Amino acid sequence: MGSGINRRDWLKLIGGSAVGLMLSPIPWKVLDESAKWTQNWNWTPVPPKGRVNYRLTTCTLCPQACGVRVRCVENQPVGLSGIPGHPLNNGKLCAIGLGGHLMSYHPSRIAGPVTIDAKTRVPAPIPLEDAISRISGHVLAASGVAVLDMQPGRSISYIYKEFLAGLKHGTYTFPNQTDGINAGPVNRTTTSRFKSYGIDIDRTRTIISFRTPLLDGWGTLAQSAEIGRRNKKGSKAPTKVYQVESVSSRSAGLADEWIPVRPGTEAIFALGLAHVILEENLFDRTIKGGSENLWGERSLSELAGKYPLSRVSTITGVPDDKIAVLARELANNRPTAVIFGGDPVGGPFGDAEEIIFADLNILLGAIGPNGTIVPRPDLPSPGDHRQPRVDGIQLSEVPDHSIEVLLIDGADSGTTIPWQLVSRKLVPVNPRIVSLSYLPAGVACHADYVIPSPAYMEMYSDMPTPAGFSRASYNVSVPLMEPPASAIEPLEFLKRLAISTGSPNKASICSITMRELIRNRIAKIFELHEGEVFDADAGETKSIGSMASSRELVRILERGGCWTGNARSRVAGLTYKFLGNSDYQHVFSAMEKLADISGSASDIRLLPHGTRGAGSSGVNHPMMSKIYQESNLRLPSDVASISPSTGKMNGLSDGKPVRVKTDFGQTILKARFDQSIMDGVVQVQVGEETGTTARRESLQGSNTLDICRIESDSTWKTTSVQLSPL
Amino acid sequence: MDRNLISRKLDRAPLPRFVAWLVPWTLLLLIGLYAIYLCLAKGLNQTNMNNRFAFGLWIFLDLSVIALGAGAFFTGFLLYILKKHELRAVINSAVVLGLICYSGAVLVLMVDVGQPLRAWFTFWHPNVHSMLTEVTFCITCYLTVLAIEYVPIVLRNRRLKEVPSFLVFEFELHKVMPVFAGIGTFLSFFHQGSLGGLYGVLQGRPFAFREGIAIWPSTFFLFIISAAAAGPSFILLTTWLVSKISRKSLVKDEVIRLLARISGSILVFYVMLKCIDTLLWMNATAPSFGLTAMSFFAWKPFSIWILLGEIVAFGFLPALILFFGSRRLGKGWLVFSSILVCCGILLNRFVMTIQTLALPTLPFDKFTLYTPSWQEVAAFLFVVAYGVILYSLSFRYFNLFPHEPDLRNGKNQNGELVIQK
Amino acid sequence: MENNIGTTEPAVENENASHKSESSGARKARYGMVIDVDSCTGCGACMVGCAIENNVPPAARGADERTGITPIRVYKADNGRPFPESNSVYFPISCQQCEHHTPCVSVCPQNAVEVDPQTGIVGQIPVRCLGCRYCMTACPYHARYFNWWDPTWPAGMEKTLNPDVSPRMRGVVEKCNFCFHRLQAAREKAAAAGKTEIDPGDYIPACAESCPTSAITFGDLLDEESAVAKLAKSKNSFRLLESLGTQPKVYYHSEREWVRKLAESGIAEGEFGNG
Repeated sequence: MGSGINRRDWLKLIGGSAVGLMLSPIPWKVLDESAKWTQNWNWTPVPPKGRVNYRLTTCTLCPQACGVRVRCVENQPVGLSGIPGHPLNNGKLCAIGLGGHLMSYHPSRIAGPVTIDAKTRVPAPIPLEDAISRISGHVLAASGVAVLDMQPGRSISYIYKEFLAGLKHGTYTFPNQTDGINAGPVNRTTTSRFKSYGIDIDRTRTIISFRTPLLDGWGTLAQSAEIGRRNKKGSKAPTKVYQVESVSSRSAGLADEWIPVRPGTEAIFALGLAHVILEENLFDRTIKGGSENLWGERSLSELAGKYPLSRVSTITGVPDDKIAVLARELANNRPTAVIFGGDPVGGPFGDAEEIIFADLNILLGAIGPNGTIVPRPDLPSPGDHRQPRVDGIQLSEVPDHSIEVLLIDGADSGTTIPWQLVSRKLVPVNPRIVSLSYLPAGVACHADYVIPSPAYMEMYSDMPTPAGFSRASYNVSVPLMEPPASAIEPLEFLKRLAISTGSPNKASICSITMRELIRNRIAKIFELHEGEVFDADAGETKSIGSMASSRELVRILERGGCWTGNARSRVAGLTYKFLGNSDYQHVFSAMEKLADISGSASDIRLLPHGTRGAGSSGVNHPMMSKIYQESNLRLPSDVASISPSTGKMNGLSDGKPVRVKTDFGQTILKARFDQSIMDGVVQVQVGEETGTTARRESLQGSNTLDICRIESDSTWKTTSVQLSPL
Repeated sequence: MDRNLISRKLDRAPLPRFVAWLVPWTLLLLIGLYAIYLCLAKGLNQTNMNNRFAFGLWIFLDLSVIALGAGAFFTGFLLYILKKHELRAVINSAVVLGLICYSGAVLVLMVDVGQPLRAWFTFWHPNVHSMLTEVTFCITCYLTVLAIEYVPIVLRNRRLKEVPSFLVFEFELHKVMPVFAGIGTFLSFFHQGSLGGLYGVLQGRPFAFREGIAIWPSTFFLFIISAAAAGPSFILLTTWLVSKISRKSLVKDEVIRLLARISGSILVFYVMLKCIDTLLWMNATAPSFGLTAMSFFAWKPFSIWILLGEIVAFGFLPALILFFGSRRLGKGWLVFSSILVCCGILLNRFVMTIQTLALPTLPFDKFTLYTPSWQEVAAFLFVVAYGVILYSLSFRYFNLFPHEPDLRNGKNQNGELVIQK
Repeated sequence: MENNIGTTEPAVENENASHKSESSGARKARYGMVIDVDSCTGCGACMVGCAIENNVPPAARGADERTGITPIRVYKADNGRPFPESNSVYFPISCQQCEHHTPCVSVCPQNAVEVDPQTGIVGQIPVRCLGCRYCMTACPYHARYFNWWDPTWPAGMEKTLNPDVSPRMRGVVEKCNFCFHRLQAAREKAAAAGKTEIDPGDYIPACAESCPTSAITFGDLLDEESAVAKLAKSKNSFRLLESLGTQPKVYYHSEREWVRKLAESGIAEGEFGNG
């Protein structure tokens, strides 16, 4: 070994290096970096990388047609916001709209055509060809075929009408309108003949709402934001809101005053207001000349005379002095509007009731030269006029037991309705129900076949005028994502069906794509040469007249733009027919019936309520769990809210199960005591279900609406229930 | 069978009986191990803790065992620094208990945190303002100290003693034991206090918040003093329990009475301070938040009786018994009082951890209840089983009680030889 | 303990009044919010918008209102009167961005939370978080949320994650950070245009952007011309739990006296509830 490096030297070297290393950043950096392995687990997803761009479209999840700005990464939508300046939503979206791009990934999304086992309700895949041939067979053999369009007025709606015209007994139908102002009662009580009406919010100073969720979801987002803004204290153009309803709703809580009436007695209350207005001569002066049935026999005043304040007070539960004060407020703080859209899930008002509300509007001048209820023209139809089409009728007008094959379109974006309303139109033996939807949502849950359509943002669609908006409007929704291969556009399905059934209209139906159809409609709108267009890209509005051709309109509308028609002049020069002229007897007896039904104080009434569109369907994007599951903000649909005294009187305990039984069925819910709710009432939210983000293995369609009593006029206002602890 | 592992001077149960004793605890250990595995593998959703109740059974367990395990540092302090030689009779047992308590606490803490692999971040990015940093550092150091203090106990095992290097090592270690005891006391002082400080600094929780001296809230000092009071009681209690279970006399009476007197005198001091602190809190601190103290107790089932119980039934009463009766009263009274003291400490920690979180802080909060899930309870019982097993093994194979051989050899509790007739 | 009941001045009166920071030319800011609870309809759009923007996973199976993650959460409170005098209010609560003695900052053993001196935003570093949850016990506003589960998204939905925000993993605490990534994007945009100050209109958190009634006003409280600063100084603006002295930068505004009174009490009438 000799001189040279010995063991001690080696030790010195190693020791010295160790100390030196400690003084260098190396070991500390290594230690720090090693922490990364606790930070990146391979099952935590990595967000997408890439080029960010923005695209524009329209939301189709409910009829309000908000403009949507979509932030995309390599053309994959990652975030949504409203389009600023858009006439319908002015830069905002609702909670459901904000997650619209997530609907495509819902765990319960139906992957391909399926048949549903009648008993277990479990879907089983079926090849598309088989599905079409089976359904065609049913259609050809059927005595009556119908299409239930949950979102009527779209371009596809007209193609359904064409297809049905080629059948022996084809019916096109849609749910009775619950939103906005129904044209029927307005046209029956005036000489107006417009097809639809809206509310000019900008001019109203006082609003009385009968069950309309005015401050929490009514109308377009721009309209409800406007009302909210003007309803605040200290607002420059204040608008007062009175909410008349039985449900302790958010609108009731936010309104200037909540007038809690007994369930089903809203129209009686309106009659009480009319009584005061007539007696004290507070009605609008323009109706003096040329109105029928205001005074004398078989008139509104005779009817109102049967309901003096004391009687109205007994029936509705509102003190008579309050009714008088309110009536004077409404009359003296005009422009006033009576809005009676009804809660979307709480159901529409009956015919007779709507006539009373329309009459009240007339008395207050809301329909008239200075009024706030304004007419809107219908949108032109797409396609060639020469093709025969059936007319559409409301669901309530369809004869009972007449439909053997029912095609349902748009169940996932249409407000859910009680299945009874549909089922009683079906033949009792082996009706066949086909749903064109991509989620087991709403009425689609009762289907025998589901042919999955593309989701929102995966196909061309158009949105007609939203209910309640003051002018006609039109929007287009464009595809931003690829639908799954197994999704079939409803139009494509219809084409295959037309061919397979040998429809006489098949050539016409097969000749067009959705995109062409919509462009065709846009061209027709252009030809009206009226109105203006909001260009979302440029952020400005221009008149139709300034455009060279319809191609420009197409370009703008396919990029989140919005066409709005001219504001119509008020319905001036009208004459009025109070009580709808020939409806006199009908209205009289309907009011008597309502007065009776309001019943004894010990009756308990079921009050379902909920949001419109996809919000009521029970299946929403998974992020809605923030509201329904991860907080107490909104109640899921298995909770029955009651006042503590009603609960205790029936032996119930807060938080424990309760059996809710009606003459039409029963359901087990969880009781929830809430002292803001009136006695004798059970409030149930219809919509999101508990655990909704989980995948559903079967299509169970039942909800609280199934146990409601459906009246002959297709309303479901007052269902008596019995409550008992489990 | 294992007779040659057991000290010649001691009687121990035959091996089969010992194994039979260990079996149920081992079972409990295994169940607890499974629960711990579930929590580590699946996440803390296995517990019933939630965003409102972020600390639950385990934190209560941590605070409680550390308070009880204070017997280790305090006995060491009394023995090595204050030279109370009688306590040599229990110091080994105290060290083992301390080791069990602290290692159990650290184990449960590792399951309680969401990312146990990041435990070293506290050392790498310490926050000097946080009480929890202090707790982490001190507990880690103190656990090391306890492990070092445990080594001589192990090395004095009959077989291990025969290895010369172990003997020498143990001898050298024993010489520096006072240093370790001193370090241990210093560390313990701080972390016992910091555990109290954990809650005392929470200005967002007016129920727990206390004013204090400099950065240390009053709970800092109260926790130290209560731990010092509880330690000797816990030693007393466990000694009595082990003695009962093993059916042997383990320590002379005078040791028990000394422990009782020490515990009693500190407890008297503690109760006085606690009363002053409570009054200050009720009349000054809580009103400075705009709250009345009684408003905290309006929530059933946490009424004012808990506070009264903690101070009077579990504080004042045993303090009197232990302080005045340590010489005169029978051992039964002393054991009973020790139980009260330990319960008082547990109640105090419970109030600080659980009641603090149960109370709402926002006006639209509700009072929250929490019951632990079976996984939490199983993990808790894991620590108990682990403690019993480790203690049992230590008791069997190591000489935990130096008085035991004398007492076995016929000397009575006073150390006098008694001739069997 | 300072008693700050009734103080409505912005939180920054006690702070260093200099508006210039030494390190860069950018002005020091104190970002805050005023939420008009008279306009809040309880629709929950802010909750959903925030969760989508910040890559918060949808509820795990078994998650409920105490184990979910909602960086902004809307609470309903009422005036305590029974029908028909009941009236309710909705309070969106996010991290209140406490300026003074920030409870969570002082207690984190790993320094995983800090108040950014430049912006006043209380930032959370999830990758340093140990998951000890001490900050959660310290926070009186319950603004912090723990990842009790491994975050999972339904198959395919991970494609919709926001590229500007990293998803957190199980076992760490998260909370609102005023969409700090949007501030960074605004700064990049300003830098690309050669400016030192961001355009205030470029930085708005997702909740304020989503609110359909525009109840949330956001901005720099130090900028006296801004809407948020003016609104914060208004007579009927208040903060939650003022008496705790945390000096939050989130203000609320209501014309209703019972609502303002509600904000002060930390503990309501005694009542047994299971939360």
